[in-house]
Amino acid sequence: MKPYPYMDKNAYPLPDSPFRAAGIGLRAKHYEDILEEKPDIGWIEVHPENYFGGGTHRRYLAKARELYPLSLHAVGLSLGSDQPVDEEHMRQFKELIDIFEPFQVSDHVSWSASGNAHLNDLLPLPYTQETLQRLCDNIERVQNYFGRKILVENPSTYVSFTTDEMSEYEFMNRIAEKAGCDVLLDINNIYVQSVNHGFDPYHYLDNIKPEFVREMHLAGHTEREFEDGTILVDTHNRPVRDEVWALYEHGVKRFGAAPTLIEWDGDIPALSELVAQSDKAQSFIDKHHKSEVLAHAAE
Amino acid sequence: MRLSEFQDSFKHTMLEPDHLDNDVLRNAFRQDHGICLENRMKVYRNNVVRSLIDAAMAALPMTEKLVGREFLEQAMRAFVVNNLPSQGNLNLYGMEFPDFVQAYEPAKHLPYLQDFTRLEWLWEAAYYAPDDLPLDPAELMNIAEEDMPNLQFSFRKSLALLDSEYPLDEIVDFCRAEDQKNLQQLSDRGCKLMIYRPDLKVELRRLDDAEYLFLATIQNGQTIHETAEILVVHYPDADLTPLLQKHLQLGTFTSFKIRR
Repeated sequence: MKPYPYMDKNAYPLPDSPFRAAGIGLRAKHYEDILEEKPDIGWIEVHPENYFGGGTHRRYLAKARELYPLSLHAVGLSLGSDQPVDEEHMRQFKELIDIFEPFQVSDHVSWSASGNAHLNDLLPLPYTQETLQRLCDNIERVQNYFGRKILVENPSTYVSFTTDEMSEYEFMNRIAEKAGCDVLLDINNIYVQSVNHGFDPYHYLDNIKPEFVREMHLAGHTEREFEDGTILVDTHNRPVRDEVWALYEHGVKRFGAAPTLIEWDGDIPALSELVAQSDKAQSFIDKHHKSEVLAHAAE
Repeated sequence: MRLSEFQDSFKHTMLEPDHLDNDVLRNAFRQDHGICLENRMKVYRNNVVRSLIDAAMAALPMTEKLVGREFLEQAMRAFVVNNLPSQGNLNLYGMEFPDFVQAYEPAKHLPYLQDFTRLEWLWEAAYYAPDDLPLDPAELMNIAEEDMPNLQFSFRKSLALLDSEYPLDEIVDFCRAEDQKNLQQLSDRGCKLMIYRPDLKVELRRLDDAEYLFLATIQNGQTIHETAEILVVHYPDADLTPLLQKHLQLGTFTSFKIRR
């Protein structure tokens, strides 16, 4: 069969790592707009699962990739399951890595596969030695298969456990040390959990080792009311809240000009609103690290 | 508590709220802020069910217009809780919905719904089908005349044929029209359709009976000669040559071989 020219890498030098730290998630609704308007953003991120198998989505991604550096942020590896990562999932993921040459590859500290069922949510883990071992085994399996380092993201959780043997920030540091991966710090998730479980989110940030943090995420969340209280749910369907921006600024000071993503997956607004949120993130980075970013760009 | 035991207990508690007397999860649960385990698990249950409904409904925009969002959501809710996906790739999750809806009691008064949702799923599958290029008709120029009858054509990967006893094409027209409020009386006829993706967009084409048989026979692996023989038995007036030319122009085929 004739190969389809997804990307002619000789014809188009692909943009490599971002010089501008703030990026946005690329969603199908914005395919045409982003190709036409070419907004001033540092990079784009997609869920690789949406591009498995081929088809029209990949064609749009190929066009967008010619304009921006790309990060592949997975939701389906289920790194925290008490079973090995699905071989076929890794194969399809690797195919995308080979085609689209992302500057980052990531997934979550959570689980969704149980037996033959995929539960399609980022489910919580008890933070124990056994979980640490299982998770690191899976991360190492993925890193060996991909031949590169990945990042793992801290989750939003709505339930916590008395069986925990360490705090989540300690767990995140231990994963990075043990599996040799990096950390993708979701600032909104830390805030959501601080309210849901009652801890100080600044204390959490101050205890994450800066050398592991290579990306940050920002998103909006929603309150869900129950008769016995309110739970914050990580819904990705509205602008980033002021409390989360404040926490992010603290993160920018501590972790440097790490690539930062605005995630927006539900009730998706006009592209311009998403870009405005990314500009706001960039303004915090410029405020604290302008000289660093320029020095990096000049190298 | 072993991780396997925890995950098994969590799964059952989330999917079957009655399972909450399960001690494994309850014993491990930390009572933060007074919000009970039941309410916390509702957030997860809602996330999982809602995301699966959304994933499966995304393939059925016309069906949603036809039967209304509420009706389709209810049917889909019943579908997803009994048909959890087996993998993390959800692009084609929900393809079994047409068979489900046929047996779904509240949809019994909509006999065409099984075929219509199948049509939308073929549409979605064409969208996600691997890219390929159409066969360039010029490639046939060098075929020796005696080899012509032995040609076998392969279809584009996105191509599917659908034969329904309901006028699905009329329903598509209704769903695409902006001003129509109610589905008019449907014609008392079936339809034959071809769904494929020539490039970026999926296309739907109505086929007459002879054209459908021509394509279905080629899809079945028959040569041009065999196809002509079958066609003439059923439709003595049908002419294979213009049909072949038409589909070479449309980009229906991706390759050919000569059966020796």
